[in-house]
Amino acid sequence: MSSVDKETWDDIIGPTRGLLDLKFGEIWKHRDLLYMFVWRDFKTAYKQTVLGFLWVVLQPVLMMAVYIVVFSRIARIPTDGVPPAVFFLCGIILWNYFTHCLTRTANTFVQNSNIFGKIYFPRLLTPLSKTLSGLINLTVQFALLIAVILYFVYTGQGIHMTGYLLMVPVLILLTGCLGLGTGLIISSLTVTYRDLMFVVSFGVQLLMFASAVFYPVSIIPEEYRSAILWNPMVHILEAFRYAMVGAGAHSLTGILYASTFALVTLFSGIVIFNRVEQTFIDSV
Amino acid sequence: MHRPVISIENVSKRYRLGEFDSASLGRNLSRRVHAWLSGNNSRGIREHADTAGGTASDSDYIWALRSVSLDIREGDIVGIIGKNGAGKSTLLKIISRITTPTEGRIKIRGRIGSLLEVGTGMHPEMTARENIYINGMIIGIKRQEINRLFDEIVDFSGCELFLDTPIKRFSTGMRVRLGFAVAAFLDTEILIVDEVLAVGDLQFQKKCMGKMEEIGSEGRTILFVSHNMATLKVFCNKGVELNSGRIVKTGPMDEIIKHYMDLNSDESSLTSHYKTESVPAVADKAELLEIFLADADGNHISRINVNQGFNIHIKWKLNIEVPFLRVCMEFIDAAGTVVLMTEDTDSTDLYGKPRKPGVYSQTVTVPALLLMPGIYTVTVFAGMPRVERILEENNIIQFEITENNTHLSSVTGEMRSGYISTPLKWEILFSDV
Repeated sequence: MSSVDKETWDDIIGPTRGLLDLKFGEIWKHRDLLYMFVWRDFKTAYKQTVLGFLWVVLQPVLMMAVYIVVFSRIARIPTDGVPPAVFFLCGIILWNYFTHCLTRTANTFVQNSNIFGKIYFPRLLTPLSKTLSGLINLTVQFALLIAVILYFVYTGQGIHMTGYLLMVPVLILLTGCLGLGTGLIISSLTVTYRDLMFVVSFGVQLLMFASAVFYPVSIIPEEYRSAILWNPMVHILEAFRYAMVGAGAHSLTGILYASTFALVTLFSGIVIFNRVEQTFIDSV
Repeated sequence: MHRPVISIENVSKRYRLGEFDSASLGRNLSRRVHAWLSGNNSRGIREHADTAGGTASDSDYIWALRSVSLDIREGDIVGIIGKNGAGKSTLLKIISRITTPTEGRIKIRGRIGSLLEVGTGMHPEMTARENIYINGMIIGIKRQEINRLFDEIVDFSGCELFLDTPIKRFSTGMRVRLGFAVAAFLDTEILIVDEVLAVGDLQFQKKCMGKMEEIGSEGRTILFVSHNMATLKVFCNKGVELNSGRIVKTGPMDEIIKHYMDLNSDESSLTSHYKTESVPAVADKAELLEIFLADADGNHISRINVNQGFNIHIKWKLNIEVPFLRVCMEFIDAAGTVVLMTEDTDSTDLYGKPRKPGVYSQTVTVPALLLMPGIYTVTVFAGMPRVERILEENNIIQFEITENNTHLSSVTGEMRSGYISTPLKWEILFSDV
């Protein structure tokens, strides 16, 4: 026994892993499962609906129509000189992606306690899959946005895409990181404090008002502007609109700030999530 | 001797009892507000501190496992037995990495696959084909492997005609078959199985048992938890007995089963008498007051020879008037099978009649030579069929039917199979050719 005991072991299960022992390798090993989860999300999202996947397009279009009536026609909020339709659509689709990432991942532990209690796989796969399945919707809505933009370009209504267009993938990535990171933190806290589940649903709505989704930063009075610029989503949305239609108060420092914010949030989210996933099943 | 593939070193697991699990900001706050309103500030704060952590005393914790050390060697098929709450599931969960140990560690060599449930991760809206992939990959089969094994899995499940049907249209039995078929092809070096065999119809169970034996003969290591002693005896070559979170005994499976059965048939460990001390202030619609076994002379007993009849007395209180009610009793054997169910409307004229609130004392007579020797538990419930159960006490008492020189074993000295010990009438005609 003593001689074989010296052999190396493949795995050692101890009380707790190190704070930074994040097991990214394991996630890579399970990438097929990640793909499968995304596929499952996609396939089951619109089951038993008459219009099915069409909702992905319909939702932002209806939203845009309401915004045009309420914010543009009635409240007369200016849209930085670009047609309200594209202005709102830009905000809506990126904000949709952010809320998708946040709300779908914020209930990870509570919603999956059944399956997490029966089998082990890297828990991070679940929130990660939600972030990726959101990307499918985003792609479709992005195509819609392009179509609308092309229409306005064709009819010559003063829209110009900028070189910032190359930044769009980065901006989408930042949105995903921010949503996922926040979602991870909330999902970890929800294990002990279920109250947060209620906070999330209306918190996201409130946050939208502070995120320049339906108004440009340029109309915000100087004294409030520094306050709203704390919100990283403001920088991302403004830069996104600048890239797509050439309107918006983007700045490199703003983007750098938002990037730092997003990455720090994501990293802390992963660390906390990793901590909670090890024993959460004992307390749900 | 084979090398150890799982080495469990001093593993303990502590769970915290009480409200902590579902702590909520609201509850903590409401406690404070309540204390403040009632002017009893100090008490409120103290309670708050208790739930919020830090000051919990020893009695708030329960040790599900206590210093468990065990080596499992390559090719061992280990059966783990113990009463409910002995720590079996906790041990499997820690080895499966679903939760972590509070103390100690477990070293593992090779890949572990765990089957604590059939069909984990399957989605009702997805087709059988898709679910084979999802479930397979969740339990740890590689996608290429599933591609390769797909036809075999489908063949094993018997679902080939419904491959592209969403499984929400499947019967429970079919879903289980599908889940088991996938599980059967999990080929990790170490396999952890928790009673998943007790599913499906008889034919499918046999198929599963065959597959399990095949897996065992391949020299893979299996950890198996079950309450079914017969299954354990067939499969396992080694046994581990757990009690209150500690290992009581390890050794060959036969010995462990015998030890476990002997230990649990001690007069003291059979709880054949249940009586409530206090009636709860907030009354349910009905409550069980007392239940016990008695022999023909009225003496309380917990075991009785198979050739003697006995009575079960039950005293219960009905707090409301109900239009129709039946009181049922189930006898459940050691394998969990309901061997017999009896209702008080069987032989009384109460069928379809209303019952008034009050205390009922009832006796059911169990005739001699009915149940086979063994340990049984009794479940009692009462209710209006298809409407509501107003009383339900699962496994409330136990009793043992013993066997001593009866027709059951007198000829061969070996116990008969089956569930019923009633001798049947035979007629034999013989003619000398």
